[in-house]
Amino acid sequence: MQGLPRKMNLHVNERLPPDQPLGTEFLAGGGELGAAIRAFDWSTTPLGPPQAWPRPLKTCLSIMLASRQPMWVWWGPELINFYNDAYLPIIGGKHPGALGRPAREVWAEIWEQIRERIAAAMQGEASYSEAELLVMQRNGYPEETYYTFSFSPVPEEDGHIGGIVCANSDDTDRVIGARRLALLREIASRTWEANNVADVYALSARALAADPRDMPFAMIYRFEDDGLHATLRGATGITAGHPAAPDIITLDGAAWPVSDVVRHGHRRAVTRLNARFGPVPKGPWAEEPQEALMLPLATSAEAAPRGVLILGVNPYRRRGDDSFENFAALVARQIASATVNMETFEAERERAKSADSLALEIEHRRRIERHQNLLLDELNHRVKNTLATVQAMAIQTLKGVDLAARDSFLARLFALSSQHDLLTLDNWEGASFEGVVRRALRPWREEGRMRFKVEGPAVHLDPKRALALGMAFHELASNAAKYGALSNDTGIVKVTWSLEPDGKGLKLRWEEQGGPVVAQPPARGFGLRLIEHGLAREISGKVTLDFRVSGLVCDWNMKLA
Amino acid sequence: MGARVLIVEDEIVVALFLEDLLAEFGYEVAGIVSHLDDAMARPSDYDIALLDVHLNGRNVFDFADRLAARGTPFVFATGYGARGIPDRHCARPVLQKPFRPDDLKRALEEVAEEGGQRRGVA
Repeated sequence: MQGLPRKMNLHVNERLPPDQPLGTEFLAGGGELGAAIRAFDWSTTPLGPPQAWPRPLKTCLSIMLASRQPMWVWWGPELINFYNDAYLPIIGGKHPGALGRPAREVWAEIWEQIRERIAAAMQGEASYSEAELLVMQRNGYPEETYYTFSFSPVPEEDGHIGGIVCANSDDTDRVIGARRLALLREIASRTWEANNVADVYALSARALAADPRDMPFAMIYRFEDDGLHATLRGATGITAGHPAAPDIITLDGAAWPVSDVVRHGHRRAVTRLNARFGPVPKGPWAEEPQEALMLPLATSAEAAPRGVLILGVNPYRRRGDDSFENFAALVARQIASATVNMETFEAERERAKSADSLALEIEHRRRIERHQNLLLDELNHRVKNTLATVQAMAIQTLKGVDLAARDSFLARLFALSSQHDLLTLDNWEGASFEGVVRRALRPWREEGRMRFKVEGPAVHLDPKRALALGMAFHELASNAAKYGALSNDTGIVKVTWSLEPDGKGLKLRWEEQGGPVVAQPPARGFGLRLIEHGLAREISGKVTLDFRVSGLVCDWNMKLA
Repeated sequence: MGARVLIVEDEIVVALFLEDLLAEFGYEVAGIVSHLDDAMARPSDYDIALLDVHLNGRNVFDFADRLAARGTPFVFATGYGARGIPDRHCARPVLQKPFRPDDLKRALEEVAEEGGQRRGVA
């Protein structure tokens, strides 16, 4: 057990290159950086040759070189820089020039940010920083990186701090991956609250504001139906109306060359933003984006894009892979899906709404119809009451004067009232011709006897003609009852009619047969005069009365409209 | 003397005419009322009621219900025709205004007979 450490030493010693000076055993192994440190001419640095280095530095270096974790050691007042193989990806293009150089020169771009912590460490105060954003120029361009690191002061034998040892872990992928995932989730959850397509765009734009580091500014344009324009529907990090964010862009216009995106559904980068638009918003960064990415707003590569998403690209993004482009494509697809879903939903809603408004319209019409029926009822009621009043007055007035006159008057009044009923039944839309005839003749009908022959096609009469004809038939029938076919037991009345071929005219005949022998009356009474003159005007037709010996024949030629 | 008839009618000319007709037919006119409230408030000093359906904008059916409950026979007179009469009263005689004096006479005889029967039973 005692010999084990010695054995290891021996083993290490065996691996020392033959040209290695004595006293540099602590630099054994350590891969590429071990070799580089051994090969370095340290006499040109304030540290001098390795043999003379203080023990704590040697210890730190051997720990560092053996570690698989990215580590560095900065030593001496100049903070001369050492690092291990695991640190190579972090220091990137600065290797190998960064070895043996003062840290302040190596990390000039982040020096201000860490200066105080370095100074504190050199005073013996350790620090720990978690997932800290550092914009490093490790590959010749400024790059957004995140590190968790600890500065540990290393005291020399006399107690003063000789240098700092630091263990790092690179959190860049984790941090950026997490925020991109969060953004996609944010878009999904925000657009869920949308009520319409315009909302989807506005809420998506607001969601994009959650990740200004990836996209310092963003605009959403929707293609118009004219195929020539797109209009700005949402913007974040940039004011609508900014030269780079006009309210309307022409698809083949100069502002944003979106025609490729429209035509082929391809994303496209636009560079030299500054030359194109002048200054553009920086977002959280110290520099403006130089590049923008235009992406089709489509749910798939095959689907026709509905618009275009334009993103200002993080000036510090990692180069050399397309992780940002892939992420941006997911964002565009997410917005497009939310839009399509909303369009589907809106179409459904419109359908539902128009069904609703149809129901409302029907309800409205029903109400109007009900109201109309009420008015008709009221009108009818008033007419009937007026007729009843007229009847009462006539009877009072004619009391004891002339019984025949009274009865004749009342019969006419009832005829009018009865025809009125017929119209009321059809809500004053008119009445059937046959109904008018039968109703007018009803008072003269006798049980068990065929006194009337009523025959003709179905004809509809408007209210005015129906009332006029009803009165006319009443007069004809009452005339027949006094002088004609209804005044004896054998007479009959034939009422026949036919439509003219064009359907606009009606031929009508009232023909009495079997009554007493008829003679031309010396003077015509009120009833016949009513028929001959009044009704002719009323129903725009021609009436002829023919007093044949066999009975009266009355012919009408009337127009139906 | 014949049965006593209450005339419920808001058109005074018609009411006076009915009064004459009823007298002609041998009835005694208990009175003329032209408002529903007056009809409701009136003591039961009549055997038959002649009811105009519409009285100054109100319908007479509440009063008809009370008459039916009391067993007093009645006849409707209306400008609306039978379709304005509620189902619970559809068995009652309805005179369509304007009506012939004979129709009134027949309707009154019909209900007087019924009322007489009812009184006889009671």
